[in-house]
Amino acid sequence: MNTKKILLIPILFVFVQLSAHAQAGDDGSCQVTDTDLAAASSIVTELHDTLITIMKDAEKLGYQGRYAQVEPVIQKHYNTPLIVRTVLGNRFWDALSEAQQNEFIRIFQQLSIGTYADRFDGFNGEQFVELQRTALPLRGQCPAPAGKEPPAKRILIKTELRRVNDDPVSLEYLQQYIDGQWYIITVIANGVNDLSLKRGEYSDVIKKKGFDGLVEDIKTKINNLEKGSTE
Amino acid sequence: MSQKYALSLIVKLVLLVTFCSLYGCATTRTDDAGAVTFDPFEPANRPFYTLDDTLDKTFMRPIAETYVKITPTPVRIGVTNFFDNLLYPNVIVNSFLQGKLKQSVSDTARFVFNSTLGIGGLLDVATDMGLPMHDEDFGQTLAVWGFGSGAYLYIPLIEGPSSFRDAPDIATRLLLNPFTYLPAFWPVSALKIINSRANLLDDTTIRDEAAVDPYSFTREAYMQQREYLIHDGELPNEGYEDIFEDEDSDDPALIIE
Repeated sequence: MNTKKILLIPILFVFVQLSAHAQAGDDGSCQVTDTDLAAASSIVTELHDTLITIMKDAEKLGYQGRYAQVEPVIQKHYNTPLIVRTVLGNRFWDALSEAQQNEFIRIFQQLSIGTYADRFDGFNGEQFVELQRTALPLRGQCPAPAGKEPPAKRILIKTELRRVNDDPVSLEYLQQYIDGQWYIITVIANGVNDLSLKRGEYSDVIKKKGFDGLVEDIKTKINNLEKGSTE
Repeated sequence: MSQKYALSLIVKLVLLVTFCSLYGCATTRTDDAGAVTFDPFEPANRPFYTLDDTLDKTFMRPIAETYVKITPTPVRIGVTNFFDNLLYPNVIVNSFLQGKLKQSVSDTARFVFNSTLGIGGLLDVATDMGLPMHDEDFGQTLAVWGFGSGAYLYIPLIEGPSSFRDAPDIATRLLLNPFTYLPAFWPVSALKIINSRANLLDDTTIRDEAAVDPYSFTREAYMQQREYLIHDGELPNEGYEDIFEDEDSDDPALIIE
C-alpha cells in the first residue's frame, strides 16, 4: 500500500463518520433543523391552499365536494390518533376497546373535516399569511439517556387569516415529528386551543351521558353538518 | 343615570372584589395543561345558559340577522366604532392600572382623536395615526394583579360567559361609559346590544357547527380567550404543549381504574 492510499484511510473514515452523523440528524436526533421547519410550513401551506380553493369554488363544490377536497389533507397531515388520545386523556383512552378507539378516531376525523367543509363556504378576499416558524424547546435530554424515549420534536407555525373589513384571525399550528413525518397535533385560533377546548367539552358530555352518549352526539353533529343544519 | 345608582354600583364592585379575595377566587384549576375548568356553579350556570340561548334563538339572533341585512357594512362599522369608542375610557383606565403607561397615553390620545376628528367615534381615525386599539378591562387588570380567574360564571341577559374575576368589569364598564349618565342610555343600549350580537354572528355559527355541548364549548372558549387577552395575544408557546406531556392532567372523573 503506498503512502497516498494510507493517508486516504483516515480521511475516508472521517467522511463515513460525518455522513453517518448527518443521517442521524435527519431521523434519529431530536434537534429541529431548517429542513424540518420548511416541511412543517409546507404542510400548513397545503392546508391553507386547499381551504382557499374550497372557498373560491364553494358553491360549485357544495358541502360534499368541499368535504372531499379537505378529507385527504386532514387524513394525511393531522395525527388524529394522538389528538383523540389527548382529548380523552391517556388513561381513559387505554380503557377503551380497540373497536371503540377506531370508531372514535373515525368520527372525530369526520367531524373535523365536516367543520372545515361547513365553515369555509364562501370567498370574500380572504388571505392566509405565515408569520413565524418556531422550533419549540425540547423537553428532555437530547440525545436521550439509554432506555429513555427522546423528547418530542415540535414546531409552532404562526399564521393569520386576513379578512376584508374584519379583524384578522390568528391561527397557530402545533406540529410534532412522529415516525419520520411532521403532523399537525392542534390548532390554536385567536388563543383558543381546539384540543383543550374539546377536552373540556367532551369530558363534560362523558360525565353526563357516558362514552356511548358522546359518540352518539358527535354522529348527530356530523349528520347535521351534512344536512346543512348547524342547530 | 342617577348618582345614587352609580354609588350602588361602586358598592357592588367593592363587595365582589372582597368576596373574591375572601372566598378563594384567586385559586383556579384552569391551566395551560388543559385541566378541566373550575365550574362549581354549573347547576345554576347551565340553566342560565339555556335561558339565554332560547331567548337568543327566538329574538336576538333573528333581530341581529335582520339588522345585518338592512344596514350597509360601512354603517355597521361606524356603529361598532362608536360603541368601541364609548367603552374606551375603561380601556384607558385599565391600561394605566396594569402599569402600561405608554399604552395608556396612546389610548388617551386615541380616545381624544376619535371622539373629535372621528365625529364622536363613528370613524376610527386614530388607528391610521399609529394609535392602535387595545383590548383591556378590569378583569384583565385583576389578572395582572395576580388574581386567579376563580369560578366560571354565566350571567344571563346582561353579560353571558364570565368569571368571578371578570364580573366586576361589568361595573367599571358602566361607570366609565359616558352614556351611562345620559338620559339616552336605554335606546342607545338597545342599538348596542343588537350591533354587538350582529358582530358575534360568526362566533355563534362556529359554536353551532363544532360544539357537541354548546354550554361547555362556550365556557372553555371563553376561559381560553381571556387568557389570550390577558397576555395581549402573546401566549407563551410552551403552554400549548403541556396537554401532550402531562399525564396527570387527565380529568380524574374520567379515569376508570
